[in-house]
Amino acid sequence: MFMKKINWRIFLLSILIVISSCKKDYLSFDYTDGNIRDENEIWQTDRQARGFLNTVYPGILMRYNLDGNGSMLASATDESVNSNLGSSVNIFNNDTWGSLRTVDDQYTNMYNYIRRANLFIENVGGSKITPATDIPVLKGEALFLRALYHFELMKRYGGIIIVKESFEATDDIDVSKNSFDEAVNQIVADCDSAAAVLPVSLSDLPSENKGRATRTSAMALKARTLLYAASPLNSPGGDAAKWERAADAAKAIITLNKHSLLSSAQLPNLWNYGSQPYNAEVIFASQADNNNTLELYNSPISYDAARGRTNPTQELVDAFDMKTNGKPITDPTSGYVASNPYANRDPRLAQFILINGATWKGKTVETFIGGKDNVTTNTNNTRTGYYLRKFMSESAFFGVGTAVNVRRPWVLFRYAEVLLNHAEALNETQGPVADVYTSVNAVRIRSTMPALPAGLSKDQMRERIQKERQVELCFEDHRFFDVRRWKKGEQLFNKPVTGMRITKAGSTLTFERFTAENRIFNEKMYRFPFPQTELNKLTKLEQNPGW
Amino acid sequence: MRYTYLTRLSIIVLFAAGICNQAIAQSTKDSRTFKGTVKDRNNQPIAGATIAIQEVTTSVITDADGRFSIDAALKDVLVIKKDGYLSQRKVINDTAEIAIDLIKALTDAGDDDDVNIPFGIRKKRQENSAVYTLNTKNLPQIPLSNVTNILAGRIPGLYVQQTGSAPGADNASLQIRGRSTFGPSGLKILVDGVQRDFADFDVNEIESVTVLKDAASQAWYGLRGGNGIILVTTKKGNPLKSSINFDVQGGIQMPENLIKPLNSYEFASLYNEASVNDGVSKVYDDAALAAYQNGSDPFKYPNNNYTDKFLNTASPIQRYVLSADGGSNVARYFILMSYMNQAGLYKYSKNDEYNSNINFGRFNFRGNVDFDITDNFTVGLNVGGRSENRRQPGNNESGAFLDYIYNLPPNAFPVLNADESYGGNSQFQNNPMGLIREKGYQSTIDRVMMATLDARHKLNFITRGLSANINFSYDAQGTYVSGLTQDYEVKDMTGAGPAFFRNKTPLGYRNSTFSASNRKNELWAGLDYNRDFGNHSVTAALRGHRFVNAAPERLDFRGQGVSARADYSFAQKYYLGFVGSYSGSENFPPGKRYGFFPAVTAGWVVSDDFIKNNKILSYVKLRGSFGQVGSSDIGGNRFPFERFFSRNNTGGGYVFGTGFSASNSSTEVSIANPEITWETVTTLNAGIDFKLFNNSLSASVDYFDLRREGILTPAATSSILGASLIVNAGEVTSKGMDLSLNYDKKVGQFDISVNGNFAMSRDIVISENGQDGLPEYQRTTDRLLGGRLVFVSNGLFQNQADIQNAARQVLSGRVIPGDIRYVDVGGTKGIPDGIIDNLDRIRIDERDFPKLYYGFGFVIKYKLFDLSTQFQGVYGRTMDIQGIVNSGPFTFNKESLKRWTPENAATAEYPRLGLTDRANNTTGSDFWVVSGDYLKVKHVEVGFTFPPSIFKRYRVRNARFYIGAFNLFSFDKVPLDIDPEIPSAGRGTNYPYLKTMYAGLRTTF
Repeated sequence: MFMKKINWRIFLLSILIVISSCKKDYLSFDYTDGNIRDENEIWQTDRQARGFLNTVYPGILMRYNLDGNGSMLASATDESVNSNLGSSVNIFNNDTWGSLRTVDDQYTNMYNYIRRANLFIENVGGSKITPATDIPVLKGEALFLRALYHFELMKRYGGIIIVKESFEATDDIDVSKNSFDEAVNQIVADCDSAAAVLPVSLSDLPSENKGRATRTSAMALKARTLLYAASPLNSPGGDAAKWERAADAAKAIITLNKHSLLSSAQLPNLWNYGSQPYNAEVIFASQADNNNTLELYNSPISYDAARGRTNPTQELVDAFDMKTNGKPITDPTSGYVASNPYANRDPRLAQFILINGATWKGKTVETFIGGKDNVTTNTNNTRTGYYLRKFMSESAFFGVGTAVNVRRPWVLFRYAEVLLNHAEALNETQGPVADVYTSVNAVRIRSTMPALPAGLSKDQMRERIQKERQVELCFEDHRFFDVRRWKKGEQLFNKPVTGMRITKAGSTLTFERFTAENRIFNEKMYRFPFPQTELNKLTKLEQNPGW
Repeated sequence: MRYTYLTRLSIIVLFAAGICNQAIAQSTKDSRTFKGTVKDRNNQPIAGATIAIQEVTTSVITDADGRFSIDAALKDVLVIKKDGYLSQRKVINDTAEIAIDLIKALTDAGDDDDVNIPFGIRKKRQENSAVYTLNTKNLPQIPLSNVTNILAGRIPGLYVQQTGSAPGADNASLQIRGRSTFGPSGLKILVDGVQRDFADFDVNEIESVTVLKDAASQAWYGLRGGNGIILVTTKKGNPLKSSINFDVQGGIQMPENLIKPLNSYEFASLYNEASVNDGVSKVYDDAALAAYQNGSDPFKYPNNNYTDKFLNTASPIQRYVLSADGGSNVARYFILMSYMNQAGLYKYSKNDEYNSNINFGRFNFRGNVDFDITDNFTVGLNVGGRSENRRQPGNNESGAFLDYIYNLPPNAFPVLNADESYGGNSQFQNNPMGLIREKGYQSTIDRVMMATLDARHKLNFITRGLSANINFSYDAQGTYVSGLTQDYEVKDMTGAGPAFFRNKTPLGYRNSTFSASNRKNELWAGLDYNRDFGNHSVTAALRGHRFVNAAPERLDFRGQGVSARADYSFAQKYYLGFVGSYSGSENFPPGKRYGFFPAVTAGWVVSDDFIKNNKILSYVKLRGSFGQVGSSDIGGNRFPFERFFSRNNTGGGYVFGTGFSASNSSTEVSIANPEITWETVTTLNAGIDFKLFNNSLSASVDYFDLRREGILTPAATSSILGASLIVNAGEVTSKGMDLSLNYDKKVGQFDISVNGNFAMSRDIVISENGQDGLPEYQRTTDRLLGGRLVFVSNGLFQNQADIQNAARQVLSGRVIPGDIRYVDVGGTKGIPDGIIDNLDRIRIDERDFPKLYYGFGFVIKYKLFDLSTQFQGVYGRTMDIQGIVNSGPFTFNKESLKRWTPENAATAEYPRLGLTDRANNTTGSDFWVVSGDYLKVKHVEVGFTFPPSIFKRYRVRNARFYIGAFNLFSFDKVPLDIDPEIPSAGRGTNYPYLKTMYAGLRTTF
């Protein structure tokens, strides 16, 4: 009997306790458990405020693999052909590009990181970063990154919407785009603000901070932005003042004397951080990823299921001059022999391109018909007779069970480009003065090439500088935008690209040029189309002409 | 292997025998003869009523005067049963004559008319909302690893689509009624009152499966109710009669509808053709083609049929179940143990060290016990558990193995070189023989424990009919991965010298891992009240609940609320009900976190008032319900009302410095939407239940009208915001009906039972965000939910002139004769612009989810034989077969022979071939959309029950032998050899579609 009474009382009591304990708090539990934090905690902690800046950096584009299958932007130019015909990079080439069929648009991606930069810029001032003297420097890094991300959009779209604040969900963001010049001014202003506070160059950073933005990286971005702004595409009438600004901006970096060129032998170490990380030629580079995918995607096909993606064109190969006299191969006096085409060429040819007979990972590359690297039943087979060599490291292994990774950044700004930017801009304002020669020849002589002949006209000099950019900066994402800003798209990109068919009979090789791929370029392609999905959301955003 | 199975079997048999002996030993007591009478409420004697003694097998039947005499002992419990009356239990307390009053059961309120509702059981007659309960005694015993597949076609308004077939992964997706959201639509499953899965249960563990289809039945669950609820109850001990069941089943599973590969000659010829179409020259010369054709050099010119070589034509499956249930006056128990094993189809999987064949082994156990601690206090403990072992070849590479055998070119390499080494080359380094024989295996063991403690105390001293109830569950789950690793090398002997690829590694132990340490708790506590006052009866319940789903590596998922319901009936003829819940989710901000979800119901047994004694129409009930439930399903976006940052103090950030270690990081995870709240689902349900022909035919028809508002969906904001957020935007209506029919009739020696059901719905998008910028013909609004967005095809281009005269198609770089021609529908200005791009797609009212689905079946018993079958069908469903036609190596298979070529241009079924840049012909267009309707013979079974006399001396009460088949046959209009329910099975990386044939013996002691 006693038990019975106790039973129900205890029972009812326990139910009451359970019900009464259902306080509202149960669902308002502390979200900041673990790794989720509210905004205050981020800015009021030194480590986490700094950590926020560390996630603004990943917006820096690495350009070794645009389509998830190893394609590079070079294959959207006359530098190379992608072995994978179905790659999205071909949208640039086959006239199927459009606002509904975009490629490499980076639109959402860049604005995501611009938001991060803005959040940092807005909040770092009131943060608990210690010592407080670091605050302006870190803010400078964010300003540089904001400028860089706007630049990535500007070089694609021209005029863009400049975003200088972090919007809330409730803000009206249906705004019209800013003009090209406004974008340039914003980028330059951010670069100037950053340059004023950042450490001078990579060599001035402590070893654990190598890779952060520096004054020279902000100056290099400014110089390139001004070069783009002065170029015919963006300054159709021509404006000497713009060229002069561009030349001065490049010269300022040269004058600082903080960077220099690597030797010819060391040149591959630009992209091999195992040997020479953050070397003197690097002004600014992305983080050094540790992988072997570049080699897997681009090695010749006989190497462990490699996919031979980026196949350099004959147009690019032909741009490498003769080594002894520096003359182009089209010059009858150059000494070029069509039956032995790779002899006595600019040493950079062998450094950047795998040609038949080259040695790669201890084996000889065979791109002649029937050679081990020219197997037609393999869908990854070279489509030009060449494979990529630049960027790649022989110490990377990508076979099943034998992976060896290498550290490699994407180099965004390097000293050789600054020199060529300077030469180009100065030639446009002052003609081929000595300073122009000095800058171009520095790049040539580093690669043991003869200096440019004296007495070139301004137009001849322009051609030589453009060719020097084509050779020195090949595969580095420059050609795509250089040809556009030079307004030479119709001339250079609206025609087929060719390759070299090599036939081996006994020990004799015969060489025959052939059309590798047809290319189409038309007027509207100087600018990217804004994605249609974006136009659907912003009524005031105006599409670029022709799209 | 055989030895272990036999050992296992004999252990189970010995165990069974042990339990038997105990049961037999119990029934020896002092007995004497008792007499009694059975009468109805009007004091009329009832003839033919069965009187049995609990726990004893003998029984007697009343004579014409309702009189009986039976040998029993004092305190024995008599069980009195008669068709049409409610069963009764009676304890023999003294030696006087026993008088029993049986109460006539009302229509739909008999012993077999139970309907489960949350924390309660009702009679079907009393229920006003759309609820359907399927008792598993109507379900067959099929040796399938996933029990939900057995439900296909059996429950009106429940769509079961099998989505997989691999051992231990033959999953099904479940959907109640139509579809009413473009967001997450998963229904909630509650087993014994708490949220947990039941797919991996043994079917014998389950007592019933109940589907709650309308707001009134779902409102109890508030925010969990919006996508529909399935209630599963596990078996309880039967106090009337103890029994021991032993099931032994064996069967085979046979692959069907596999991809049909080409031989090397066909492959190389098509490859050449495709190369030429791509603008490249042929890659196989005539000598190579001849060599493939005559097979003169199988090492240099191999010709492999991998599916034939590596897949068996059948794999074994087996299942053993031992269960026992029973009880006494104060305790009831149900216990079960089962083991099932499903082997895979892979050949060459055994070597001296291990077997790498895909395999599924599962051990289930359950013990459900209830104790009446006092007359007023009952405690129940339900404990279930299972251990599942899934094995796969290599490094969890069953999918990779299937990828190799479906997608490697037949001429890729010789599977084995002349020296028995594995073939391969630089391009193809994966050898299926190497994978299955020399790459180890991985075994993934999932262990699940589920426990529920339920206590109920009557509070009659406060007021009669009141009781308190508390129900608490604890579920735990863990995963353990172990196995062996190994690797093989392949050798290319076609070149000048042999070349080796991959790295051979010796056999070793895999790094074992223990993961997924999940815990789930759910608590329900409150009061129930049931009482009759003359013709008035009142039923009410009130409960608070709380649940948590916790794991060490993430934040908890939580919910809590209060639920209440009250029902009133007058004279078991007029019914009124109310149900409501106040329910919350952590996904929403304070102030918008808790919602109140009410519903009302009404019912009227019309036949009791108007159509009494009708010869044809014997029973009619009208019922209706109206109410609202919510949904807080939001996908992976947690706490969308707050602006959250995540931090990682040791990594996740950019790599700086010469040490190349990732820096620490903090990121903005989401921006805040302070307005975010739940979705609401408002449903009107109107139904009619009726019976015809002396109750032999019963039918229920339900009409529903559902409106879902505030659908949780990503906002369609511009990229310049730089972040994403979740908003309540979007509205869908769904109207439709479902129907069920049952016909039971005894014709002479035949016992016939027929069931049928169908459900249809029309689901229309009223609004969805992101539609504004789209041309009208692409919008989802005012169209069928889930409608496809497709290009409109207009045959194939036959020649270059065709292409020149048509709009310019920019879906791929190359457009040549043999490509699909599309209609120029629109452009940037909304009118045809001479360019075929994404603006030329249109939204059509065709989708993968059927507009109507149905099932029917029958059971016929004749003497000792029985035959049963169940069909399932869908209508108004379409499939995109592009990926199936274009499957296999370089998209080639036997279907590719029907491609367009200049020679067979008139009869071509598919566009021209190509190796790459094929987007024009593979993009989603109506060219590839075909009907996915089917009618399937899901299940057939023939059984024979042995005459009881045969086994009587072994104390076997009943023994039935049966043979059956699952997924036996389907009728469809698909122009391909595929199963429309799982079209991609047998292609890509998917396990083949399986037909199951089995035989079994059930013995009851």
